[in-house]
Formats: sequence, C-alpha cells, structure tokens
Amino acid sequence: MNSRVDHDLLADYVGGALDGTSEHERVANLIAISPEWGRAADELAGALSRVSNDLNVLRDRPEPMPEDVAARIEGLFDGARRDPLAARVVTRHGPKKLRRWKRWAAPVAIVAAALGFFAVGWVPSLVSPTARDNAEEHPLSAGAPAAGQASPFPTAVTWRTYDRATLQSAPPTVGENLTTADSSGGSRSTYKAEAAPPLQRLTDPAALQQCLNAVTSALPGRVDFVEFAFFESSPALVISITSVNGQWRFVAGPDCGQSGPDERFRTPLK
Amino acid sequence: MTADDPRGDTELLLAHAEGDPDAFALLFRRHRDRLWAVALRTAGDREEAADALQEAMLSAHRNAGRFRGESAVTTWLHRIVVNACVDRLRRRSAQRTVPLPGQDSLDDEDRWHTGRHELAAPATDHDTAMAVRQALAQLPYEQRASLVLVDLEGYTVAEAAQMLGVAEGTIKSRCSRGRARLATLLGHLRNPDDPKYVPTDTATGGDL
Repeated sequence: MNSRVDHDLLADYVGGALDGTSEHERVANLIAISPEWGRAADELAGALSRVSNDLNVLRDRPEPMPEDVAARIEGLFDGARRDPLAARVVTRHGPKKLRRWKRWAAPVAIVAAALGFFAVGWVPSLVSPTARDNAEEHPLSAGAPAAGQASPFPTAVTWRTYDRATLQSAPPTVGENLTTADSSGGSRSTYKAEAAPPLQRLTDPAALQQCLNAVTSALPGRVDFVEFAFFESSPALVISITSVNGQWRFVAGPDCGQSGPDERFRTPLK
Repeated sequence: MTADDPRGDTELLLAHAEGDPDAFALLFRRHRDRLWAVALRTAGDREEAADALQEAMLSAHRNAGRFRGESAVTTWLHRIVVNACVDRLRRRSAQRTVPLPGQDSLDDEDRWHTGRHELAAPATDHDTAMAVRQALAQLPYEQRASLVLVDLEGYTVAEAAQMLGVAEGTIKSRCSRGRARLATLLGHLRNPDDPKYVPTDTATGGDL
C-alpha cells in the first residue's frame, strides 16, 4: 500500500477535525496498519503536547499595548466624539476650504458643459455652495442624502487612468482636469460614455454615500476628494482620504457600497 | 476618566451608543492590552496590528448601536479586531506587493515540509514566548487567527467559528494543522521531508 503520510490529514485526525466523517475511519485504519502512519501519529501526538505547553507560555505572557499605539487610538476618540464621518463635514465650514471650492467649482461647470466632459447623468462636481451648505447642516450620520441631493464631497469625473505608481502622486487639481479635457472631444466623449455604465450606480448620491461609508470603514478618515476615473484600465472611484496617519488614495470598484468598499488598491501619498 | 468606572462593559457600550462622549474610550482603556494582544498575534506584525486595531476600534465606535448583547462586549470587540486583521492580511495577500507573515511565496505543501524556518530551542519562558510568537507569524493567517482565538484567547471552537464566520469543522482543521506546523517550526517535530530525517522508533522511546 502507499504509506506516504499526508501530514495535514493526520493533523486533522489527531486534532479531531475528522470526527464524525468517513475520513476518520480511513485514517484510523491507516494508522493501525501502516507503520509510517502509526509512527507519524505517535510523533505528532507527542509534539502537540509540547506545542500546547509553548502556547500556554505565550498565552500567559502580558502583551501591553505600546503607548504610541494607545495614544493614536485614543486620539481618534477625542476627535470623533460623534460619528467620525460627521467630523469631516464640520471641517468644511472653514473659510479657506470653502473659498478654494468656490474658486474652482464654477470653471469646472462651465468648461465641462462646453466640452461635454461629464459623461454621467448626475454630475457630482457641480455641487452648488447652497446644496453643500445644506449638507453641512446635517451630519452625515443622520443618513444618506436623498436621491438627487448633491454630494457634500468634492467630486469630479475625470476618467484619468491611474496605476499603482501614479496613484501615489497628489490628487489632480482642477487645472489639471481641464487641461486633460482634450480638444478631440468626440472620441473622448465616446470613450467616457462607454466607461460610464459600470460606475453609473455610484452617480446616485445615496449610493455614493453608502460607498464612502464602506470605504471609511475600511480606511477611517476624512474623504477629501472623489474622482471617477480608471485604475489599471478599469473604471473606479479614486478617493483621497486624510487619515490619522497621513493622506491616502483608495481605489474602489463599481460594487463599492454593496457589500463593502470593493477595494482594488490603497496607497499612502508620498 | 479611569478604567475603574463601576459600569459594566455592556453599560458602557450602551452609554456610548446613547451619546456618552467618554464611555467608549473608557471601554477601550479597560481592555486595550488584550485587544492589542489579539491584534498583534493575529496580524503578526506591529504596524499591521496597529492599523488593524485602529480600523477595528473606529468600526466598533461607529457601530456600537448594532451590539445586541448576544455575547460579551469583549467577544464582540475581539471579533471585530480579529476580522479587521484577517481582512487586512487578505487584502495584502491579494495585492502581493509586500510579503506578510504567513504569506510568503511558498504554497501550503512547501510551507509544511520546509525546515528553513525552524527556530532554535528556547531556554526560558521569555524565549519560549518569543519563539512561539515568531512561529505563529509564519503560519497562514487563517490558521493563525483560529489559533489565537482558541488556544490563546480561550474561545471555544463554536465561538471562534461564529466570530470568523466559518464552520466549526473549518476552525478545527485550521487549529489542528496550525498546531502541527508549529510543532515543526518549534523543533518538536522533525521535518518529515528532510533528507536527514530518520523516523523515530517509538517502540524504543526515542527522543523527538
């Protein structure tokens, strides 16, 4: 008979994982009739006893949390006495950020309209200050925005193509967007129109909100910028996030928010 | 605020869900060392553990209202922590950019049979703990997570299965195989494929 010992199967048997299965009888028989299996079973049983002793030593050993880790996590609670998602809305009351937003929102709208730049039905980046201000008055934790309501996040549709290397650069500025809005509008529009359907669901504010909730569960932090783009040739949301340990780019796929963030990649910004 | 608050864990979590701004931090302080142990031993790497624990605590902080009291608060927290660790390891494994503990390029069979990671025999409890921690870090992360819950945290197989969302038989198998691999890694069981391996004659009580 073939007496080569299957050590994983033997481990399952000795550990009781085969109890109540037909494999249990088969392995028991092998151990009874094969010297190799019998010897291996005896050796494993003895070794497991020692492993148990070793594990007990580790189990009983205190594992104090390093102070820097404790401070980092407690700092999160200090800064998020309510839903951490809500905290980022408050930051948008700052005049500097609002000014910056107003500065580029109008040109984007005008040029996008002129070039047919936005290929999706709902245009996330055309958020009026009024709509945004309304969103700021209501913490996001109170619920997702109703359909048709604008997103409180700076959002743009660029269809830029990223890879793992280019993701590590800073998010595009509006100026960059506009310069990449090529003058060969026809073919680009076609390209965008073809690319839009996989992300169409996420143009709904409620779906986008659900997606960002999933993203910030996976990578806690403040969403700074959401970009409808490509990642390694696939349509994806490229999301800029400020976390407690720095700035990140998080790539979410078309199923983002349905059962998690549909994460494709994440990387800290250099 | 101290961890000596007379309120129990469930009361603190409910208080947090109802808006007590300090309750969750107090709960965290009360259990932070054990939470850290779970994260560190499951992740197998300090930085990964810190990141996973951060994600887990924010998730717990935000989702406290979903706690239904069907288990101890610590069980609920441990479940979130260990799953945060496993999720991170799974993502990193999928990306395959940086090898992580238990995620080297060897397939299971190679990892089982190779003797290259065998550790020196420890002399003291401190050495033993270090050796076991290093050996644990070399296991596939799903085996490691199961062993951490069952052998180090004392959860039953059924509880661990529920926490990790798998069948009890899966936990039993992961634990059994993980322990057997630890036996080889810790030098209690010789590598059966080592060319110098000579099967022990158990009839004469040969030393392993």
